[in-house]
Amino acid sequence: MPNRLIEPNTSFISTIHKVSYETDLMSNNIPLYSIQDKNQAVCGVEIIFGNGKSDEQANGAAYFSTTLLKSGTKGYDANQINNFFELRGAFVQLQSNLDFSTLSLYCLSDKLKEVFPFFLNLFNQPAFPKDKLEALKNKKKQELTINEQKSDFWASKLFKETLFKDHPYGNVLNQQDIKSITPEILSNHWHNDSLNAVKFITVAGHFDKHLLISKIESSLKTQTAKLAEHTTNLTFTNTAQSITKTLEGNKQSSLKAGCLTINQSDVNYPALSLGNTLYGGYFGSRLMQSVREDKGLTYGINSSIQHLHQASFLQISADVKMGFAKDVLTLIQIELDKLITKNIPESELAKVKNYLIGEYKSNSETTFDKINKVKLLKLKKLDDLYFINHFQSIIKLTSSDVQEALTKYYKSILFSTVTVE
Amino acid sequence: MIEYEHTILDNGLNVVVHPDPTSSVVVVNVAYKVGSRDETPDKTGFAHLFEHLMFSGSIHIPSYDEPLQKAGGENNAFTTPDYTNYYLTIPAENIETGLWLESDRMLGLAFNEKGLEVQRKVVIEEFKQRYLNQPYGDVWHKLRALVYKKHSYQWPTIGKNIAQIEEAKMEDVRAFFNKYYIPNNAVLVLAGNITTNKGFELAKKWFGDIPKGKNVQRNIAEEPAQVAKRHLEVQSNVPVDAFYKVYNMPGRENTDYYTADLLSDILGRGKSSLLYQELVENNLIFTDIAGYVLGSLDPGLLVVSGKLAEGIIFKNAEAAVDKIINELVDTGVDELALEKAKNQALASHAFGDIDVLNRAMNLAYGFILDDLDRTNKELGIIKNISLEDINTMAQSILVETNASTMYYKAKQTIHEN
Repeated sequence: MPNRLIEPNTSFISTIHKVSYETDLMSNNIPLYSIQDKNQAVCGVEIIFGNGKSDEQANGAAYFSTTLLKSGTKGYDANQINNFFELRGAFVQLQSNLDFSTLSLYCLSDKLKEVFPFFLNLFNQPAFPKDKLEALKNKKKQELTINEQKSDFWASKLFKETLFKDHPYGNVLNQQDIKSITPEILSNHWHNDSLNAVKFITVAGHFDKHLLISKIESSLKTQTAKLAEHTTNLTFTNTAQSITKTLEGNKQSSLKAGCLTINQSDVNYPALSLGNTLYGGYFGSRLMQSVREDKGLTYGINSSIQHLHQASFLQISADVKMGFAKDVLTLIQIELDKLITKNIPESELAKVKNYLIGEYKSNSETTFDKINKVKLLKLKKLDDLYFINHFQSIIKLTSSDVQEALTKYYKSILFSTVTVE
Repeated sequence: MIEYEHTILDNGLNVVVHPDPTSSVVVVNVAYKVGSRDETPDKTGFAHLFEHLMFSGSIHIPSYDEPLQKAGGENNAFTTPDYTNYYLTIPAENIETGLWLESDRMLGLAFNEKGLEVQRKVVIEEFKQRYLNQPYGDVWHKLRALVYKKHSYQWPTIGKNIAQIEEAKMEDVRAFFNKYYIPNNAVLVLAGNITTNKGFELAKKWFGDIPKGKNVQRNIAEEPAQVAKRHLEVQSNVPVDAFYKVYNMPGRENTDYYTADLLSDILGRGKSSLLYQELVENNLIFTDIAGYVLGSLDPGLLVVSGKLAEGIIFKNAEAAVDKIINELVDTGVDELALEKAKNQALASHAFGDIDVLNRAMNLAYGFILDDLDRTNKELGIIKNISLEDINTMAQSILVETNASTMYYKAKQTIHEN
C-alpha cells in the first residue's frame, strides 16, 4: 500500500523540441508548410490570406467575402458545393479575423485527390451571389440582435473600442455596417485584398504533396502584390478609461480590464508572460484563487495577453455576481499589488513554469497541433527557435524578473475598465 | 481501431490501458457511472455540484491542482445526465502524481464546509453565466420538462433552479460520495506513453487498496411511451423566434441508436442536409436549422431546431418542416443521402481518434455503456445500416404522436402568431 501522505517524486524534462516541418516555395510564390504523418487516415489544408479586418475599405468586407466563398462559384451553386463536400465526408471551414482570413479543408486522405481541386475553385472562382449575400446579411443581423442581449458581448465591444478607438481593431460590426454591404464591395475587397494576398498554405496529416503542389500551382495566381507591411505598436497609446453600461434584465456583471502591452518579440515578453500566468492565466492563478476559490464571486476569471499584428494587449475578463463588480475590480488591483510587492515563493514559480511547459507539450502532440504552431510562427514572423528560446528564458526567470515586468507593463499603466451591469 | 487491454481489480475497478508510444504524455481518465439522471427531483444539479467538490481536497491531499500543475499536468472534468468524467494529461515521467491524486479522491474527500460553501456560490454563478443570463439559455429546462414526465432526464445537469443548489448539505455530499464514488462504479483509463504491464501495475498500486463499495442499485423511472403530440409556447425576452421539434428515439445502449443518429444527419447535419437545403438555402423560412441527437444512455431525443427568418410565422415554419419529414417517411431516404451521412460519420470518427485524450474518453464511455469495445465497433455498426433500417426508423419515430414542439417566441413578435 503506498504512503499517500508522501507526494510521488517528479522529474521534469524541460527540453522543448523544434517543430519539424517542410517548406516548399511554389512557382506562384506561395510557401507551402507541411507535416506528413503517414500513419493517419486524414489530412487538413489551410489557405491563409489577406489582412482580415485590418485592411477593410468597408466594415464587414473581409467577413462577408470570406464567409460567402462556399455560397457559389462561377460553375456551381451553394447546394452543389455543399453536396460535393459533404457527400465525401469533407469539411470546409471559413474564418475571417482581425489580421487574416483562412479557408480550410479537412478530409479523409483517400478523398483528397477528388476534393482538393474543387476546394481550390472556391478560392479562385468565387461568385458572391446576391441572394446568398442577402441571406447571410439577414442571418448576421439576427446573430447581432441576439448578441446585443449578452453582457459579455457589450463588455468585449466596449473594451476593444476603448483600446483601439477608430482603428478597425476597435470596430465590431453593427446593423448599419451589415446593411451597407453590397456584392460590389465584396468583389472589390476580394480582388484587391485577398486574391493576390495568399500569405501561405499549410497541410498536415497524410497527403500526397506532389498532388497538392501541382494543383495549387496550376490554380492559384502568382502572388505579385506585396502585402502591406504593418508597423508594430506605433499606432496606439494607452488612455485609461472607465466605462459602465447598464443592460436591461442583466443577471451578472461582465467585466473587462487591461491595457496595451508588449509583443512576443520583446525581450521582456517571457517575464511578462510568466507573470501574467501567475496573475490570471491558469486555474491556480492568484485571480482564480481569490475571486473564485476563496470568495465564490465568479465561475471563472482569466487574464490573457492577446497578440494582433499591430498591437498586443492584456485583457482580464470575468462575469461576476451582480453588485460585486467594484469589489472584483478592487481585487484585480490588490492581487497585482501583492504579486509585485511580496516575494513570489520559489515553489509557486516552479509550479507555473512546469505547468506552462507541460501545457505546451501536451498541446504539441498531434500533427495538427504542430502545424498550428508553425502557422503561429509564420503569421507572427517569429523564427523556428522561438518556442525553444521562450521556454529557456522562462526557466531562468526569478521572482524579481517577473515583478519588474509586471510593474513596468501592468502596474505603471492605469488599466482601462469596462463594466456591464 | 483503438488497441487496449482491460482488467478488473479485486475491488471492482475496471482498468483499461491504451499504449501509444508516439505520445509524450499519459492521459488519466476516471469516469464514474453517475450523472444527473441519478438525482431526485428535490435535489437536482447535485451530481454537477459534486464534480466541483472533487477539486476541494481529498483525504490525504489538501489541494488537487497544485501538485498536478507542479508536475506539468492539466486537468478538467464534466458531468452529463449519465456519467461524470475526470481527466488529466501529464508528462509520462510524472504519471504517478496523476494516479496519486486520482486514487486519493476516490478513497475519500476532505469534506470541508468552506469548500462546499464556496462551490455552491461558484456553481450558482455558472448557472447564471451559462443559462439564466443567456438568450435561449433556458430552452433545455423547458424542453426536457415537456418531454420527460417520469424519467430524471426531465431536468438538465445544471439543475432545475438555483434554490436547490443553495440548499445542498454536507450530509448529502457524504451520502452521494459513499454511494457512487466507489471503485466498482468506475473505470480508469490510462492512454498514451505507457505500456500495458506498467499501466496495470500502477493501477493496482494506487487504486488496489480502495475498499469496494456496495453495488449501485438504480431505480430510475422509465419514461412511459408517448401517445400524443405535446406542444409548448414560451414567450421570452429574446429578439428572434426559435423553433424546436423533438422525437423520442432509442438510447445509446441500443445499436438502433446509430440508425436514428444517421437519420438525424440526413435531416439536418450540414448545409446539404434535407432541412437546411430546402428551408434555408432554397426557401428563406429559417436563417439556420439543424438536426441532431442528444446521445443519452436511456431513450433520448432526435432534435430539429432552427431560428425563423424575419416575417415567418411559427405555424408556417412547422408546416414546412413537417412537409420535408413526411416526404422522407413516405418516399424513403435515397441511397446517396445515406452514403453521405455514413461518410460524414466515418470522417468524424477518424478526426476524433487523432487526439489521445479523445481516445481515452471514448474507451471510458464504453464502460458507461457496458460495452468496452463500443468505440471500435461503431464504424462497423454504421457501415451495416441499410436503407431499409433508416426507413423503418423514420416510420417508427418521425410521427406526430411521438413528437413535442416548442415555439420559443420573441417578445416583440408574440402577437403576429
